[in-house]
Amino acid sequence: MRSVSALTTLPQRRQIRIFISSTFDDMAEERDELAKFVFPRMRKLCNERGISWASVDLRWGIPEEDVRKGAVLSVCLDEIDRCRPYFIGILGERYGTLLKDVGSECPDHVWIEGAGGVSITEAEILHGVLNNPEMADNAFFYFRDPAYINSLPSETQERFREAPGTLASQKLADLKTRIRHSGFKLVDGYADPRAFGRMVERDLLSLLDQLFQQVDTQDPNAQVKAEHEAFASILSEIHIGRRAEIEYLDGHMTGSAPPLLFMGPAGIGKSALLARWALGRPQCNITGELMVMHFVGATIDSTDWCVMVKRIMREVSAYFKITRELPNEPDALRAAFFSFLDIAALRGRIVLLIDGIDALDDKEGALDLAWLPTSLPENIRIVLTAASGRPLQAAKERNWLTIELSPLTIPERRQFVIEYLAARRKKLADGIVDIIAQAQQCANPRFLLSLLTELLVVGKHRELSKQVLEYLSVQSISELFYKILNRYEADYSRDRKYLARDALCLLACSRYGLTEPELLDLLGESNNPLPNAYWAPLYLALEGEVVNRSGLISLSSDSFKDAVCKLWLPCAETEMEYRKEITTYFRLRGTDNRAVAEVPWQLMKLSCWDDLVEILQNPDFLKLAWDTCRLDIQRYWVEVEANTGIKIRSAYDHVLTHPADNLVISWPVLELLSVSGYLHEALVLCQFLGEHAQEQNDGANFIVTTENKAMLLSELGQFEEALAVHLGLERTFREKGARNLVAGQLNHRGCILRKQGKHQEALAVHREQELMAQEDGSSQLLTEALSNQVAALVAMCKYQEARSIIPRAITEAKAAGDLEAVNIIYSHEGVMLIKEGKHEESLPFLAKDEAFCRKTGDRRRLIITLGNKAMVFAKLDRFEEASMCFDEALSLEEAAGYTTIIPSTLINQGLFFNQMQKYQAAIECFARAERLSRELGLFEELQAALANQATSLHREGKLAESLKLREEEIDFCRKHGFANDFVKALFTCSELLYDLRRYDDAQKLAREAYQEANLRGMEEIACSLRKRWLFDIA
Amino acid sequence: MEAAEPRHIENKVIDGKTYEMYEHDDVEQTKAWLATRTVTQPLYYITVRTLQGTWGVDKDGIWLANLLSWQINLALAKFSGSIHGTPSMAGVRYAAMKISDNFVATVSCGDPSCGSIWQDGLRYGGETVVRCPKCKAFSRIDTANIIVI
Repeated sequence: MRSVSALTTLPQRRQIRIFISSTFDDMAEERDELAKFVFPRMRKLCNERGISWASVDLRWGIPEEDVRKGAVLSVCLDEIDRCRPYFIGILGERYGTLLKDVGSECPDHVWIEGAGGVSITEAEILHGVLNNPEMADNAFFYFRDPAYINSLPSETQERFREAPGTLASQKLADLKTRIRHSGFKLVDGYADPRAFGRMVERDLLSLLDQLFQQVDTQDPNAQVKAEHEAFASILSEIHIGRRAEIEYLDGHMTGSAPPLLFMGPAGIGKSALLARWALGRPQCNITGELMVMHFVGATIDSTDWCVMVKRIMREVSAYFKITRELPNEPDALRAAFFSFLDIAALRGRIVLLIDGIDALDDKEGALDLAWLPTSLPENIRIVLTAASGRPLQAAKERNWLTIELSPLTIPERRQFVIEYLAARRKKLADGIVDIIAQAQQCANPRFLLSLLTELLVVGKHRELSKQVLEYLSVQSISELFYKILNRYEADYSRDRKYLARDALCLLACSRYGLTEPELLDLLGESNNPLPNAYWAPLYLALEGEVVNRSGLISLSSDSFKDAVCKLWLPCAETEMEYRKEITTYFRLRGTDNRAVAEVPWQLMKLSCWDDLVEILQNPDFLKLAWDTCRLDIQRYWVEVEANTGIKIRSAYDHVLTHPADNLVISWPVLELLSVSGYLHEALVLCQFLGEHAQEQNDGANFIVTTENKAMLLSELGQFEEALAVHLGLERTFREKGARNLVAGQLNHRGCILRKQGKHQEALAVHREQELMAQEDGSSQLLTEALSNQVAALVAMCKYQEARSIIPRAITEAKAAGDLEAVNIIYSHEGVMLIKEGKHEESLPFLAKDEAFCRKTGDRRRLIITLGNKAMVFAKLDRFEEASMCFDEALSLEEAAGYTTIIPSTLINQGLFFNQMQKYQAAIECFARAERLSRELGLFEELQAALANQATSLHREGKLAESLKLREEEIDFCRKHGFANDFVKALFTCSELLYDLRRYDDAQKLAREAYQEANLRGMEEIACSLRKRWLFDIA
Repeated sequence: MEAAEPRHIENKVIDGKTYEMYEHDDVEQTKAWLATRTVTQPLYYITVRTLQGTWGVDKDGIWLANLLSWQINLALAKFSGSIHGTPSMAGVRYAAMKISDNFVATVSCGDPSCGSIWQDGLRYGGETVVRCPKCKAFSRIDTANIIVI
């Protein structure tokens, strides 16, 4: 089965835009009831469900004369089309203003020509509903009880009804009869405007439940998917030609070529090509294929590579039924994505279409394509587009295919003009089509499209040639946009000064765009939104230059946005004014999803750090923001800390000191402190939350806090405490019979024991984990258990035993689809070979590990591997290569701030200096490693730092200092069970004593070392001691 | 014994001291070769690295850079050997001052059936194990009777 069925039946967009049709004067109270009471409640409710709400009442808020000017009929009909399928019709006892000579006014609505003599209201009802039976479910009619008029003052009653026996009263009666017989939903005889309001609200709530509640409970990814596909659908309408590229794409799908990247300047048609190809791809005979489209910038957060990758993973997981965790941490996510693609490729073909990768947020190497593996399985077919910049460079460095889209040819332009106008029931004389097609500027599809859109709005038949030539007098798309923008300004500012400028600047300054009601609120005056009647003509004219994505209106292209900014936002102050307006508006509106998305972002842009901190401290705001966009919150805090002296810790001091009073935000603050590295503070809060959960008998949260606490303790190097907690949890899970949770705790415990250097104990724990995993048939847990056993055995120098487990560990890892684990297990072999002194042999394993780490983007392990490799090169006297590896490892380490692996890199660097006979430099490295290891409680690293420091001091002739460290090393190894290192330490210490001419002590230690080495089968050392001291010779 | 030529490695000047550096596989041949070299100038050293330690010669005579580890493993020795003749006093003085861990003396094998003599390094003021190049027997040599005043 192919998953693109959604392409043909697009899921519903999360937007309700409803048209209100009524007569003018007699329905003022009803319209007020809707505008002031019903619609604000609906808007709030929709917001809570993530639905965009807008109502279009072209008669609300404007004087009747404006309606009577008659220029609005075409606007009304166009707006009805935009609002489909939602419609509200209200009728009292008035028929409304009659239309005269409507044919020339509404050239796009041919049917109206035969409708002379009907009122505007009937024309709306006909166009909106009665001529379109498919509106049945979403159109509502309300007839007012005629008795209502009797309750009004007698002098006003006449305005509320047609005189009996007139043509208008007959037409009204006829219209009502047709509506009653149409089967559309009708409330026949509401008592008064308030009762009307209640009924509308009831009907709309029911509509809302019916349309969106079910969607809410489904896959949250479905809506985003729908939005991308809807965006593709819009784009595909404007694409033309490009047959060669389409054929190339078809071929690319069947081959095994690396990813393909289309490039070219903005507006050349990259996105449209992709959309057209995707939507036109034949669906037959494509079994087991999944296509995922992602248009960067098309939806909120779509420019964030993490969000994009997670979205892809969710969609692929759902289709191929793969269960994977989605890590939040970027490095982990990248690694997970790489191995995920490998696994998914085994299940079927995946086509990833990602448009506009140059518009991704510049973070974590997103623009250098760090989120994509350098090599991909054949079954993963990727097509990308980018205008310019680093993505192109990255693609070229990877030897990926890049195709530059050429400008449109003259025949293609001609075809586009004819097809585009024909779709809108327009036609140009051949001569004018030729003028347009031959103009060089029209080689850019974006230019051509904007020109045609403009001609549709302003074109006058007799002056068309002149107008076309005038537009073609500009040379670039920016100039064309300036011309269009100035025309907007001149044409649409009659009722509201600077309407076009303000509307477009607000949209340009908004983060993701604005909903129509938001825009109207911002454009209005004194708390009154701008009437629809003033806005609608501009909105209709903006078609093509703005795009409505699930209710959020935004500028459709970067080039148009650039033109708006250059023309109307030339200085920072002007831009700041618009940003302040947006900020104030959303802050006054209260805390909702839209405010959470806009306010902190605007405050960051305005560098209003104090206000930003205040917002981030606000409990309601933080809670909602943490639930909806936690990455944003982390990002804001990074900016705050970088630009001010304010730290997260101090900002949430009140939560730390009075957690009980700040329960609502304790969880978000806990997570924020943890991910930001404030581990001690996080621990305090975690402790409180655990106790609170216990008091409340909240078992689930108690377990979560307890596990969090253990992990924080482990991070802080408080291994014993962490172990105690894991042990406690383990007991609880055992009692409850939750075997998989027990295995998880065993895994945590074993890893901590290994960090402590208690390899023997760790081994026992991982063996138990193995048994449990075996019984449960969990490949993932079994892989972890076996891999950890190998690690423990390697640390204990039990290489033979480690090697005996490796084949099984690899089989299980492959079965679990955990390619990362496979590589880790192989990397143990490399480490073993190094420890055995087989440096040359270890290199292929290290190279393999390095390649995998680079591919998966696992910088942490890459640093360790580079350090090992450097050490091996140094041992082999390949100093230049060693030096290069160190340089890269250290630069990665500094950039990433991996504190816990700095000691091991320092140790490797020290070994390198030793090899170069730069002993003093080596000693400094080891001493730093020693200090850090002590601080972080890293036992293995501490042992290595002590040992190597002692060796270097010995070489430098500082024998007394060396001896001191060596004796500490012996005690340390004895105490913590570093058996093999203990033997080595005894051996080297005996050498040292020998050099100090403390022969008797030297001999004593040498003998102990010899016995221990024999006991542990450490043949090499035993042999060396035998030769050196001729033990057992006599 | 005829002294086979050792392999020349390099000449080095370190801190004003000049070293002629050689390598040889056989320690006895090395000692024989060193005996043929005469050094009169101070701070001039001829050194030969062998599998049984580094031997050298300077203006004070032949020396052994360091004792071998097993030379203090008294458990090895089955016989008691002895010093043959008078060792170079410069070497003994250096050993007494702990500048060097040994002085070179001519020793005789403790195995009565052998009785070979050769030069070897000995600890000052203690016992040292030596191995006869001919019969390979281990003997202990006590130097307690040599005292630098």
